[in-house]
Amino acid sequence: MAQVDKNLKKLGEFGYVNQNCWLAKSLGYPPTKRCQYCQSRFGECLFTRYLIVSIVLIAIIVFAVYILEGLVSKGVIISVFALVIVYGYFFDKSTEKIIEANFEQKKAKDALEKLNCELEAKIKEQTRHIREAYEVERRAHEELEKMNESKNQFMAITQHHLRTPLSSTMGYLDLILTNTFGKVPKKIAEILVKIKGATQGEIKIVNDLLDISAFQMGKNVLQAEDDVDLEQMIKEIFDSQAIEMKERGLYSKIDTEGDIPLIFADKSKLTPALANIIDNAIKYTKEGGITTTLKSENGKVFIFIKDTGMGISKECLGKLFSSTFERCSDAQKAFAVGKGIGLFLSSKVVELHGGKIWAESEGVGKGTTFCIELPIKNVK
Amino acid sequence: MTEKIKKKILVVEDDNDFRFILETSFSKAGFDVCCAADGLEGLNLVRSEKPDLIFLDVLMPNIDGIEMARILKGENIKTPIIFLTNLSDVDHIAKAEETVMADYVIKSNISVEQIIEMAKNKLGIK
Repeated sequence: MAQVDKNLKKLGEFGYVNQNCWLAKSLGYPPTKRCQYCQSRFGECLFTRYLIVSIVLIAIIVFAVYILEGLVSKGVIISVFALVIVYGYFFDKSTEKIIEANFEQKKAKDALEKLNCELEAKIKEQTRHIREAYEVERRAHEELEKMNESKNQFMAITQHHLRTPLSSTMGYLDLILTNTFGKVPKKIAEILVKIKGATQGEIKIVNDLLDISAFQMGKNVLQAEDDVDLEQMIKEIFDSQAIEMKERGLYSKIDTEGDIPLIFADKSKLTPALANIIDNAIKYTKEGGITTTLKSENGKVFIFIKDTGMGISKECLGKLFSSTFERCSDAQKAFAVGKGIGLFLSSKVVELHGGKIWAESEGVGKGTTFCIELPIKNVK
Repeated sequence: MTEKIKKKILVVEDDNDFRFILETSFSKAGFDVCCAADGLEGLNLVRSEKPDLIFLDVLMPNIDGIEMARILKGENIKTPIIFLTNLSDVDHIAKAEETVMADYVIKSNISVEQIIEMAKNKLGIK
């Protein structure tokens, strides 16, 4: 009995014992678990099968001995059956090994499946986390887009409302000044020209502010074209300032070192950007003048605008192109009025073209050189 | 007296002042001018007056300028259009150019003389 129990335990370890197995139950062996590998029912369980086969064989031997008694010697009958049993035992042992091997294989396969299931569950869990994170990000992105959209709408409305009255004012002034509503007396015409100038100044401020907003919103506001002639552009800027420079006794000189190639740029943005730097140079130069040098090197055009003006302290040099629109104290002393946005805008336009801008000065009273580097082809 | 130009210009502009300025300027330059205060009125005038050139505001009530241009394109009306706007947003320009190949003018950045010059160039008048 102890041996049977031991065997049962052993079989139980393999998981051969079925909780439905009546024999295991009747022997008091606790139906620990259902046979998880063979899923066998009564009669199919390996252990049950051994016992049934043994009982049947004993019954056959007894029956055969009873029938064949007298015909064949008992010894022969018993020997034959003993041989059959022994052969059957070893045969069954090998079968058992195969079954065990199969069970082991199934066990490994199940373990693998279990691992797969666990991995799958983990992947699902992680996928869920990723989806959730993605969802959060998507919502945030949507929010940002909405905010950006509102900002754009606000900008559009602001542009419209700021520019509409200015357009009408300019239009009416044009009509009056071209004598559309009757001959305008000379004195009034002079005043109207001043009003027109002031309105144009106002339009420039509005455009500057709108450009700043556009830059700060990261918009690419450039519409670049081929064959922009920088030398011609600079000449035209100086021409537009010729009267003022003459009145103030300032000279202007443009030097070119070799041929200056035409570049790929947005003329409508680059002209005011360069004009701004030149205007500043003129504004802060009391005597002497401005020398502009152009040269081309390594696919780039360099512009150096050198003035003989008040110069810039080292401390101020770093703040010149700041987006906080700070004005240097020296500049404030010289000119109380100034927005401090011009150089910031110029630097942004140059950067959008893929170029660089910087200023050099030996110090206060020693003049300033503004240096601009622009690529011939590349526009961001 | 300015010589009469046998070309008709349609001005579609919701701002009364700017519409008046353009109407007066074009008349003075010798053009035939008709005006509309919104896109809907503009569409009716394009169909009835058959202008040679349209100055079209972008932001307008009822039907805006871009929508009006799209409808005209749908009806295969190929009258050249010059958009008038106070928006310098490049996306808006792209949106308008996608609809029809059109010129674009920022109202506050251009003088009346320049607008008239532009109309003459567009119509091939010297």
